[in-house]
Amino acid sequence: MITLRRELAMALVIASAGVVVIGALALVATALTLRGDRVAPLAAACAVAILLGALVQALRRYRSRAGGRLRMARTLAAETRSPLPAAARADILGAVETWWLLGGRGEGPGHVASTDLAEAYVQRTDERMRRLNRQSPLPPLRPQLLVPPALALAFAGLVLIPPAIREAAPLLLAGIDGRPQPPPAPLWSSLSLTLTYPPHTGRTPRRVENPSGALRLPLGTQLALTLQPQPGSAGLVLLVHRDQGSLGDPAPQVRPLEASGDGRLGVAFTVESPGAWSIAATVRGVQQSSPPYPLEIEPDAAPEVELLPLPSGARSPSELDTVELRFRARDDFGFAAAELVIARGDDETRLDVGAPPGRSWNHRYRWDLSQMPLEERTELEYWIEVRDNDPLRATPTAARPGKVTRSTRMRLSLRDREAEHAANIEGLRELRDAAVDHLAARMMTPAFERDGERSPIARLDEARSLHAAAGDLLAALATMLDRLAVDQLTRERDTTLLGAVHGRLRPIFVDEQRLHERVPVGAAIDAPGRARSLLASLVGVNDRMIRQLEDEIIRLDDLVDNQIVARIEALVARIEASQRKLVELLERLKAGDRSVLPQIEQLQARLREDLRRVQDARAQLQKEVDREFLNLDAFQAIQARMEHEDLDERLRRGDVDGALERARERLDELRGLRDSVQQRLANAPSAQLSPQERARIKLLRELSRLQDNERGVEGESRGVHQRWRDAVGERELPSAEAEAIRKTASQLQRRLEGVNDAHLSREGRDAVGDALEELSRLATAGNALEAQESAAKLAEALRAATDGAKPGELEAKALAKLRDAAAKLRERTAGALPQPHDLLDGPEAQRLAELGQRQSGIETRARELLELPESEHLPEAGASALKRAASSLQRSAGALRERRTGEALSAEAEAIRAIQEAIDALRKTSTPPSGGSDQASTETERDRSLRDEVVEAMREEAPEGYAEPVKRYYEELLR
Amino acid sequence: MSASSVLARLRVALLAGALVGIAPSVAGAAPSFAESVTAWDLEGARAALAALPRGAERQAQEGIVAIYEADYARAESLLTAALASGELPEDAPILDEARHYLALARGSQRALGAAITLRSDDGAIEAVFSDSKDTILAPYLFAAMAAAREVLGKELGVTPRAPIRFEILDDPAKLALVTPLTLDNIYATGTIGITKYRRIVMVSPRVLLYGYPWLDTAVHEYVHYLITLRTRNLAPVWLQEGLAKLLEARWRSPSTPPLSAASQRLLHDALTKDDLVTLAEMSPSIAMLPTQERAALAYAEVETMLSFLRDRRGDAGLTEILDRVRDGEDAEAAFAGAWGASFADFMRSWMTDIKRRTAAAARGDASLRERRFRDSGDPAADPSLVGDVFSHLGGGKARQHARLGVLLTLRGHPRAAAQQYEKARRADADARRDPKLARRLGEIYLDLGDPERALPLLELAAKDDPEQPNIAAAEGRARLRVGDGEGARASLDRALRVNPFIPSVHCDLAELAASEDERRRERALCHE
Repeated sequence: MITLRRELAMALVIASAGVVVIGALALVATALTLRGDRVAPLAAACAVAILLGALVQALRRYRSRAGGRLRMARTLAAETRSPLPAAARADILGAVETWWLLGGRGEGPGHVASTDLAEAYVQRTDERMRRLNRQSPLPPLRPQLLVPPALALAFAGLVLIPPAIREAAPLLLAGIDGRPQPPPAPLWSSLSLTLTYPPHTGRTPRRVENPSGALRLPLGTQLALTLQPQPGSAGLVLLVHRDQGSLGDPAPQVRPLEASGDGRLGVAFTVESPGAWSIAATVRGVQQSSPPYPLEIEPDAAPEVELLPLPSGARSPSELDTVELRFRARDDFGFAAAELVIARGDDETRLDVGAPPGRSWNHRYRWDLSQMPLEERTELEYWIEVRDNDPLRATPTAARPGKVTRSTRMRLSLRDREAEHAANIEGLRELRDAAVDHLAARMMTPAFERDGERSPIARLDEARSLHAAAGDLLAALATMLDRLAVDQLTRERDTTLLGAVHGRLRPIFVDEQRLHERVPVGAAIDAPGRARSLLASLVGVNDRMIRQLEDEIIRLDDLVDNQIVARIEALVARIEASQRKLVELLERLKAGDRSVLPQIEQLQARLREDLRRVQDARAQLQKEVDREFLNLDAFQAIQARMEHEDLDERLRRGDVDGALERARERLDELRGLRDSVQQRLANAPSAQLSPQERARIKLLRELSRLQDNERGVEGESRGVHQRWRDAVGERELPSAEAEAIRKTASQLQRRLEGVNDAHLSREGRDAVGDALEELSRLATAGNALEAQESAAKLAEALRAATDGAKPGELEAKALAKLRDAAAKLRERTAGALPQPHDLLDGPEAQRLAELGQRQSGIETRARELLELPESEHLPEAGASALKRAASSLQRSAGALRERRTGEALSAEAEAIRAIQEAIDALRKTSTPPSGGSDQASTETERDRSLRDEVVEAMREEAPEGYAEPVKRYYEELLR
Repeated sequence: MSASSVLARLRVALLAGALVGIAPSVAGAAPSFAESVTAWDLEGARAALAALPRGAERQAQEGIVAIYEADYARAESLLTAALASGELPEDAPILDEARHYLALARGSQRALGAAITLRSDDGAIEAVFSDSKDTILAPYLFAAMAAAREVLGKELGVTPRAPIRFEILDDPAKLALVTPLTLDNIYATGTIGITKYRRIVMVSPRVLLYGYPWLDTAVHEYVHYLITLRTRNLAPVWLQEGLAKLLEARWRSPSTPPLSAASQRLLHDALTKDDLVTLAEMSPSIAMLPTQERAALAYAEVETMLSFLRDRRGDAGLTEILDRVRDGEDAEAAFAGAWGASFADFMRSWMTDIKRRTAAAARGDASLRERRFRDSGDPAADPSLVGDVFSHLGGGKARQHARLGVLLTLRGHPRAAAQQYEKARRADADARRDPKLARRLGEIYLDLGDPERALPLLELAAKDDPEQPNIAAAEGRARLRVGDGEGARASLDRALRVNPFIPSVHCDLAELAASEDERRRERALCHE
């Protein structure tokens, strides 16, 4: 049977197939164009059209095939796939046509001859067909047959279809345009960013035009943005988004752009975290935003530091030595500070080792152990601690900003030679006391009292005890001789003197021994007469021994006192040097440099330690009978006053001026008193000094005075120079000039690194290191004054390095060229600043003129010294040093008059060094005092010379407070 | 010391003057509150207060009066209340004044702490000790002040009706709490005594290693006290200090001790070189002169000026000056009035006289012995004794034996040491006359129980350094041992005047005591 349903089903199948094809085509089209928005409706329309077409076709087909019984019968007859036999189908057609003709319906296929037959035929065929009713005239539809191929097709589609097709499906299904969004129309026609890096990075500002990607910047960088807006845009704002890396990122900061004079708009912000920035504006009434530009943070890494171990020979220095520490440090942005940390148990001391230049630093630090309060045989731990210049604190609780890195810890064992020497002096004192005791025993012995109650035997025993005690005394003398012989701080002549004492006492002891040997122990028990006889003989020896002891005790006392005085003088010299250093540090503190506080504290502790040693030494000079009544409660008041006047206490109260004034007073006292003593020593008419010694002392005094005067001029020159520095300290180098200097410095650095410093002297190598350090500074210099000072130091270092090379060798030639280049660089940097003679005028110019005059006076005096008869005692090295000092003084005088304070200072420092060399050379020529051991028997009867007076003066009052021990020493002498 | 007290007094006067901003009232008019306070006239001050309306200002002034009455707790309460009220005018001097006195009231209470107050039997002296250890000073202070009251009362014509209050502090630094002086001032000038706010504040000799002439200092301050009362605090510095120096020893000696040779020499040199310290230079304080030498010269000048006037015009001349100054007359004019001619005439006469009298000393070699406020911090130190002090003997055998004597003494061999000292004395005539050697040997003999040999030696030492309390104590003991009781007391008194904390002095005084009470007291202080 032809049914509408069948036709419709067929149409649906066809339409479905058509839709699939259309879908596939649509996918391809979408994949190619990404226009899901366009393809989807088109495909849908096609699908609908196909569906409609199929339906129409089905209806038409149905009508054409099943539009009436006749058409249907014919269609059936033509259907070969029908399960009905062909005869049956022909019968049906025949019957229908017959029925058609019988009904007289229109034109039929023919005409009916017999109606009845025809009707019967129709009737019979109908009945027969009814019997076939249960059998469908058409084959059944089997749509399930389509499912496997459809599934197979779908699977193949999923697997085989290219990804582009698959990705196109969502676009197609959603009906969206899959093409990438076109960038919004820019809000500006030109944009520039000026990056101002935080100061600690040392980077110069950078300008970026029309940036397009992410910016990687150190934290704290300031971005100044200017743009030319597109016409029609308004209300431009900057949006700064911060990535917090956590839930709920905060809303962006919004800042309006402000107009600048040239029609551009601008805004600035500081990068405080990673994030992005964008610009939003209203363009012709529409809110638009630029794409976000990411901001990334450039990390600031912790610094690195490497402390090199000391050479094995320098690992056990004396407490008076200086050790040279070498270390290297690096940081990505630079350093804020570097400190030497010294640990003794729980105590930590920090010393500023200088301002690290740039981002890498090879440095040598001369660690003056004599400025530290060290106890005997101390073991120290030390390391270098560098702190980078990161303005942020490493932890919220950190006391100071910046990240800190420590080097490896090193150990240092100290030998306290000074303390060893002090122990030997104490031993000498004990020896002297033993001699005194022995003298008293011999003076008061009843052994030789004939009228006494004691028996001769008992008296002889007493005499033997005295003899044995004399033997002990000589043994103690011999032991002391051994100890002094290995004491580096004891002069040889003192050992000789002690040997002479032993040599003079021993013959008397031997004589006494011979006498005692006449009567062996126990032999006199039954012979008191022998005992009396022996005692009578011993009286004379005892008297000789008493007289000799009276002399030798005075010599021993002198020896002890001389050693103590020498020790005190050494300590005083050290105290003076420390005091001078303290004044310098306090001046820096007053100028606002608080980094010197640990050094001040250290130096103070060292001074206290040295003063304690002076007090101990003075206590050894005390020869007092402990019978005096003292109000001991007074010590508390004294202590309170000392504390009040103590420098530390003043600093704690914030009285830096007071502390500085006090320190200067003490230094003046020390200088003045030392000068007075030297003058007294040289002029004393009663002094038992040889003419040579007197001349030497006079010369020494003159040189000391010369040096003090020069130090005074240097201090004042420095003060005036500092005013010039204050005036120009803030000036920056012009950028072109800075760049040129950097370039030159880099070139010089490369050339200097090419010099083989192994061929230089030790000083030359050190100077090369100094030069490299200054070149590092110059390579980052932006400040004109710093550049000038670095260039001057560089020139000086290269001069010293050239001196450290052997003339004629390659290194010498290379260094000479570098030296000349450095001199030019110095000139160039000097040109970037107004010089002192340009700025210093009025009272300062007047002051400099006066200083120049004073300097000329000092120079004249230095030259006069060379002409003095006493100068013949000045060794050649000393004379040469003094001549150099005179030339430096002359240069300084000229520079001062011309207001070239920097040069003047340099010349003054050189002059002071040269005078010190002359003093050292003279000191080395010290000769033993006149009067040899041959005259010793009469020596004690003469005036003990001025040294005695010094000693006696030392015995007067004990020290009080800071400078008092030293002051009294000299003060009493001068009375 | 005394110079500082003048400075302090001057400051108080200036402060009080600033408080009221007026000049002293003319004769006849009722004195203002400030004038009365400046003159320590507390009755006058109270009368002036009564006229004031009640309020913060009056409360503050009552607090100030309480300070002068030494009622520090009440003063603190009143001044705190006045300041807390907020009613004191911001720009008026009374506000600063109230703050100053409040700090003083608090400082005084801190300085004194749980003080012990002792009164003399006659009630004339009240001594307040911040430390009970110092109460041993009381009987000697009372005795000296009793003598001073009598002598100076006649001399200056004024005897205070109210008890004189002494506050004895146990720390020089505490002076900074009770005066406007800073610690720096005190340490720099060596201030140990101040007369201020109607009381005398002194530091105990116990807190100075060797003590100091504390009784003379007490009387010196008392003279300032009397002059302040007599002149209503109008005497200038030079007059104050001159009189105080002139009269400080009068309590124990009818005549003023002669000027030391060193001071005479200073004076003579200054006269010769026309380099005297002018009276103007002495103001505001002698303590502000640049050197101790100038200060000593200033004291010598004013002391001899007043001494000269008294010698020529009698004691009445001095009181006449004081009265004229009190009445508002210029001090130099008052001086001229007492002299009977112009001040310039007086100066000429004084210079001529003093030049003549000091001529002999100028030929000597005496040098100024500087008094050190604080001595050495070394407990074993004594400038007069420490070490081998025989360098002045020069060379030779005397020196050698003297040194051996010292070494033997140090090692505990006194007899051997004595032998060596004797050898030294035999070796050289100078050594025989040497006071230091004499002291050493004398003390050894005294220890060895030989006072007869010790005494002449110690006398020799004491003659050279009469102010040394240990020598005086040793001399006193030697005299006691040889039976010279009167001489012993004189020597021991000398030691007491400088350092009453030497225990041996009290042991010897116990033996010399005139009464059982005194013996008991002295024995209690004897700790040998």
